Amino acid sequence: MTKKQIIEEIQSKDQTIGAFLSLDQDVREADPGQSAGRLADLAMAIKDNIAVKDHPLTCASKMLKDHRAGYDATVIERLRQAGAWFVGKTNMDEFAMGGSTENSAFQKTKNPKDLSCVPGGSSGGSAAAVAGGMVSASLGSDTGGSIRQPAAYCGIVGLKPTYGRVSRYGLVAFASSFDQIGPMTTTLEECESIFSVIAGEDQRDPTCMGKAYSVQTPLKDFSQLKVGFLSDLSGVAPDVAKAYQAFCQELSDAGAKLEEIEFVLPQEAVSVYYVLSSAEASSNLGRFDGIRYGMRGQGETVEAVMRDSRGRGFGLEVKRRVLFGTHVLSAGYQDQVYKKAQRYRAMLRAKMKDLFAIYDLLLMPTTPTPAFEFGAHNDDPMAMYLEDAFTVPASLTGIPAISIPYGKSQQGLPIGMQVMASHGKEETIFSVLKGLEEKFGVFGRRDSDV
Amino acid sequence: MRKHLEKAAKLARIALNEEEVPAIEQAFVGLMAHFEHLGTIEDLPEMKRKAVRLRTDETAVTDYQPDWEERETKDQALVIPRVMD
Repeated sequence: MTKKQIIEEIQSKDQTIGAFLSLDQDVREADPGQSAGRLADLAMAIKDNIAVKDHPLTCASKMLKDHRAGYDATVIERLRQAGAWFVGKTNMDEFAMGGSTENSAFQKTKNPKDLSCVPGGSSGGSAAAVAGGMVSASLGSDTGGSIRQPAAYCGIVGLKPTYGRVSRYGLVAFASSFDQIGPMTTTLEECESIFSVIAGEDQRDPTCMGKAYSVQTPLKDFSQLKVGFLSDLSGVAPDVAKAYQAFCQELSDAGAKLEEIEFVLPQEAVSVYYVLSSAEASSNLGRFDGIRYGMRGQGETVEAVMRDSRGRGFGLEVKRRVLFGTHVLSAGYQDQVYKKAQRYRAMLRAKMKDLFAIYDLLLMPTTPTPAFEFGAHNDDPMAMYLEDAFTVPASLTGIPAISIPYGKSQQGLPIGMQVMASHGKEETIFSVLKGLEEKFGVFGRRDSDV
Repeated sequence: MRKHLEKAAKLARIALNEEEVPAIEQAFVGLMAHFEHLGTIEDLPEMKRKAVRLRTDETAVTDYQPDWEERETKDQALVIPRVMD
């Protein structure tokens, strides 16, 4: 098949799903079979907040509707060098704010596993493109769970790397102390392979820690492995709790030592995350004012043009967060709210450090429930935010976390399990999970998953 | 809350659409209530730095004193947690 034929096939499949905002109709690169490299001929979908030169870069917002990227993000440069090519840009919640992809200004994306359900978000298009069999790999970005949650809802693998392990150069900033780019794939092996290409130092991102990654061998002997798991699963759907217990049992059967942990703040971390990420968003999105960047509104004065541009260019969820972020940073509230949230973040980091002094890995469900139906949380933003309860702790503390498909609900919806390790220890995550695959079968392809 | 919202809209230079205001207010109220329930930041005599007093349940509290860095800038005080070790 030529690349043009591959694009045409994706276009046809995507009519039902709506995963892509744009497809590369003008493929100029060599056809499959002619490129070399670790990822030779791998067709990838890219979330529409990551810059791919000459491709649209809209962040699923009216604000950037006609914008095209003038350069490649570092991750794109590295993937190109490894032989991958890019079929198009995927739908997302506007500026990556949301957990269902319902906040896209342009279109609805359906969950390929159940068309009445959301694919999750904000990287919902990237997850749906993989789960719908259009590509085998995509890139997403994760601020509070935006790779892991859609991966869980769509039954695929999604990795949020350690903060700083993958360059953010070329990623449109939402909350700079949280944002990370990561792979979303059908298999663990592909996820690791892509991560090994995109991880490593980048002079253009000062927060990049400069630690490359090499593909790991599967763990054979689990007897020295210590794993912490949650005993309190209140608020978790019964099907998810059952899958979680089965996953813990699988690790125990492999020989790992499992111990119950008391983890402060799974739910409480949510409001800390929203205070801090919204504060950063209010600052990062300040540049989209119709003067410096973005859709130009109307008005008699500069101030009026800005107010109109931002009032019409941003959707409801972006306004909510920018306004909330502005509020918590305003005089009188900075000490009371923003500084307090920073201290909670520091406390959570200290707690996490204590836990990783004892355990190699921590296990949590990725989400409290499987994918929900469209519109289920439209009238209750807090219910939507609380879906992030298990993903935000890794985001607040900067540790790596992966979601793997593990079983299905009674309704046949995929369930995701989350495995977390200490800073820069993606090696442990992949080695352990590959060891489990050798013993019990490939995640996502077991009888319980299909 | 409406007053806070209008002030934030003015500072953020966003023209508010009246129909969106209730949905934005709802998120403000929900997040603030959730956040206020968390606990307090206390000056405890036995600790050098301010401590997080976490409300672990209705009757119990736990105090933490993480290793944070505080710095004062010209016009605002910031608490900078070290994201990476």
